[in-house]
Amino acid sequence: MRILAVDDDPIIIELLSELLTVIGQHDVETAESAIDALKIVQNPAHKRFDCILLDIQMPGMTGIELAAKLREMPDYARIPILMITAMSDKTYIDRAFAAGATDYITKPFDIDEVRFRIKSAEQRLKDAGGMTRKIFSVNKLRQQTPATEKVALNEPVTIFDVDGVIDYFAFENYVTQLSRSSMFGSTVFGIAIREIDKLYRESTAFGFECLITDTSEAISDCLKPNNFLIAYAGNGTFLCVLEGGARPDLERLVDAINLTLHQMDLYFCDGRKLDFRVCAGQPQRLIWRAGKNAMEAVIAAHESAESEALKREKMLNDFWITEQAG
Amino acid sequence: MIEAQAKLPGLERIRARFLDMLVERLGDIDRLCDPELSGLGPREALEQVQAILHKIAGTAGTLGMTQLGDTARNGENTIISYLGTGKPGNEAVYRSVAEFIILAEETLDAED
Repeated sequence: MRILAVDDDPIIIELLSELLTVIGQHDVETAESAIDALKIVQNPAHKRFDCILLDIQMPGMTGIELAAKLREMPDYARIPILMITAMSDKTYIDRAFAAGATDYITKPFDIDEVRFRIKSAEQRLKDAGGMTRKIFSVNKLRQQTPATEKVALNEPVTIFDVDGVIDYFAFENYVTQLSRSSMFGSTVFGIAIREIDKLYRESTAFGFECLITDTSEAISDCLKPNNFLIAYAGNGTFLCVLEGGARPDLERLVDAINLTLHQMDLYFCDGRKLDFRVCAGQPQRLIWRAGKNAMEAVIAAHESAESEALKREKMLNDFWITEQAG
Repeated sequence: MIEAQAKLPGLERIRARFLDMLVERLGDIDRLCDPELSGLGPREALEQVQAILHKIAGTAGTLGMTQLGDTARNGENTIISYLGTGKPGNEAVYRSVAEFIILAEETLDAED
């Protein structure tokens, strides 16, 4: 891969150049500030980078600010951005993911960890171009391909321009990499769109995109001012991590999201009123669940939200059958 | 230093540069701890000391100087806490910085 490594510490720059050359014979270019990095990527004479490593804490412009700027550039909207950070920088890590980072490497470096993270990024780049295959954006100008091809119902999608909403693969990296102590006070839960099969069948490609992006905006708005991250996992289900020990009152949250969606006054492309609701699954506390165990909690949250959506529809269906029979 | 890290061909060169920079950085910390020399207010001086310790904490461990890195991290965290909350107090801050300086000097002496 062609990699740009940005860090204001010359020792880190030397270490990364050495490590990356040894572990994968990567073509590494370096910058000692975010401003220098911007000049490099904006220089038309430069060949595009496949992956960028960014130190979080740099004087002037931080790595988080640089990540956000890079995500605004079409060439760098999808590529892996790995943050370089000390273990203690949890709040910075949260902000970095919200700004578009896909993974992070902790300092001091462990060569095996760096190798694994870089190989994961390389694999993701080969499989899907860095992020999930499709990108939806509230700001349609940022979208790389017009919504003519309908995304598969079960496919995760990256949504841009909504506060706290990140790429699904980045979400997985975020959850699995958090240390056990960092998990303390974190809760993961799923929010599922009810009757998603029917809504999907009746939507155009563009209509489905709007349905997903509008729902993500409603969830994001209702989760404020908590510290949270959201990812769309496919099948009409959103996964949310709530930080800082906040215990979600999911009943109240779901009511607020449904009210927000109702107030958005949404329509299908053919002019029919789009009236739909969401529901939540069982929340899973991430306390002491590092690595694979954390991912199991995410999967449990996902399944719980989807089964809750099915249960609600079945209950509604049974109610109507009973009503008609009565 | 773990075995895989020891196999990095350029590691000795980077380690030597780190130690050279450590001498400079110790001089910078020394200057920052003296208001007359630095010309800075206490908060600004501590922020700069914290930035230096942050860099050392991020690299020393990779270069096989784990204890030095941990001591730098402890100093960094103590300063962050002090600047944010006023705790654990001025004396504890300077003690944590002094612990780092002593260990850094011992490390440099051992390398000579």
